[in-house]
Amino acid sequence: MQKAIIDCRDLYFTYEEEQEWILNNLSFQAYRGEWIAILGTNGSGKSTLARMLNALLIPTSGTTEVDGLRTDEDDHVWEIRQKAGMVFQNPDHQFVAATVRDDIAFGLENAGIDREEMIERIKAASEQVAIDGHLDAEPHRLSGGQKQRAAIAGILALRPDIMIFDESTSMLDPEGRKEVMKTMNELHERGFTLIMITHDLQEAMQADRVVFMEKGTIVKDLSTEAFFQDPAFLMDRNFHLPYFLEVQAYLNDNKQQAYMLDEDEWVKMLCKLHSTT
Amino acid sequence: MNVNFKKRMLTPDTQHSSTLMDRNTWRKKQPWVFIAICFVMLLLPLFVTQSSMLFLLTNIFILAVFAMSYDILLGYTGIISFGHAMFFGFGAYSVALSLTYIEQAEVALLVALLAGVSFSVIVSFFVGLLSLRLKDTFYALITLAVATIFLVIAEQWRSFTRGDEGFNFTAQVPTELFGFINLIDRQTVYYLAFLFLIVMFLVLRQFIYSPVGRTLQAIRENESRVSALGYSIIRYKLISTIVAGVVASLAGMMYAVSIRFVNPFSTMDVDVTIDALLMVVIGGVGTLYGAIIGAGVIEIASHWLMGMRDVHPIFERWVILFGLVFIMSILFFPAGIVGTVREKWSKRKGKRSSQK
Repeated sequence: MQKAIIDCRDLYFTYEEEQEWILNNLSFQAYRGEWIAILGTNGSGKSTLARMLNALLIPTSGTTEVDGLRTDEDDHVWEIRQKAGMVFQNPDHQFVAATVRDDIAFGLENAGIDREEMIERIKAASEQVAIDGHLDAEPHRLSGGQKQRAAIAGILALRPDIMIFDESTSMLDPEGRKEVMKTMNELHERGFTLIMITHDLQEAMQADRVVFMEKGTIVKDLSTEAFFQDPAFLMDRNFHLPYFLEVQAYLNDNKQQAYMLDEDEWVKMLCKLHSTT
Repeated sequence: MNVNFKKRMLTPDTQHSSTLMDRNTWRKKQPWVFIAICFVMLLLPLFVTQSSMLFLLTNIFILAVFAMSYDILLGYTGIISFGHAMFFGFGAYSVALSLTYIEQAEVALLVALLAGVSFSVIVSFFVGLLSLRLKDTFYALITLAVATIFLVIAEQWRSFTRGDEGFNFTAQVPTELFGFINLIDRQTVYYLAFLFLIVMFLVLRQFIYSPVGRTLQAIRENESRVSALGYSIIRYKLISTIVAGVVASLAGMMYAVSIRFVNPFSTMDVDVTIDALLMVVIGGVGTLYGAIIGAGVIEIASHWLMGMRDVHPIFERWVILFGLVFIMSILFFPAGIVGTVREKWSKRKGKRSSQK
């Protein structure tokens, strides 16, 4: 059995003592190379869980291990943050330097990387996310998608194993979303472990596995294929289904057929069906 | 944790701002503006013979340093303190008490410097350590509480501090410091205060453009991201509070030299902190120059309004009018004077470049 790269056991968390549990007896494992979408209603604890995974928050009780390192041990915090990078929601609040190049260098400075290696890492990371043509640009002049890709480059330069995306596409226009999702796909192909907090079902469909949270605990943890076989579960929770899935749900009222998650394939199937009738 | 303080950024200018280009243009022009202002200020005492005017300008220079120290906290780190005046008070009292209790002036001032700075370092370190891990509001409240404790001590420890009446130490102020500096002479104190402002401005400017300063600005912009990148937020915030505390203490020392009188309320009260806050807000938060301009506006406005008391009884309530000045400045300069001028400059530049 492969060892989990992220291992959360019996997590409880609350910001204030008398508050209800934000995370309530949550256990969760992620394996190397997996792409996991974490879905959930507002206030379900998704972002809190994300922050547990790179030691930005420490559980009130229970343990979180990242590649065997416990997040509640101070000595491990720096190593954990190098292993698990985090991309935040607001692209306008991601930058701390005047140029994209300096922004990518910001994380490396703290890591004590020497200048030659820094230059090499910046080049490699910016090429990986196709932002290398904007290294001397001022971050605020980039588009939303470019800003998020530059932020991803800043993390990639630290050579992490895990990338956590905390609703990183939610403030982007459709073009920006596409750019970031494409980057995530490429990172997944390269073997990174991706944890993606999202509200968008179409984005979640691109992951290998979907974890659904409610009231601080995991209520569903299934492969993406299996998860989307129950659209009623999502509709009951006011999630807006992608149009092609909604139509399938409408046509497939008796639940005899499996839902198709690839829109193009589904359209082809419909055309085929239409041509035979 | 490997924190490297050496300057190793790949390009020299990394100030984060949406008006970065304009800041660069400003900075290129600054040496001439800076030299011109220095020249005027150096010549001014030759033409201004009124000692009250020299006294006012001296106070502006000193309070500008105090306001700049507050800007390091508020503008460059995003921390609000309600007790910053205690550091100013430490400095002022260390000079007043040293000159009173130690006979030789040079030794007294050296003791005052060491005592004021070290006490500020210790207090800012422990207050920061206690409260900076918590929400920012806790820092504001804890600094207020600690400052109140020191205010009460200064007020109650009559045998040492002479209580709430304070004391005048003009008789102990040296007239031949190191054989040639007469601290009673208004002109000498004016030049000393001006030199003090220039030196502190250059030191703080160097600090905010250093890797530590840039990290502080990054914390202000997005604390979570900086933390996620592995920086120790508490360590950097502590550096900021200690630097701000020490600079405020130095400003307090100069203030005591200029005023030659200390009491708890004029040096440590929450009003003194609020004054610094107003100076920074009126001048422009996170601009450093703004603190200097804010200090000038507030000191000149309060001096002028107080002077108008003889003209009309309405000016007896000059504090209310002063409030109006503050409201108007916020209405016309929402980003502070320096911040608003920069924004306008940026728009004008933008229009010009789009016309081209």
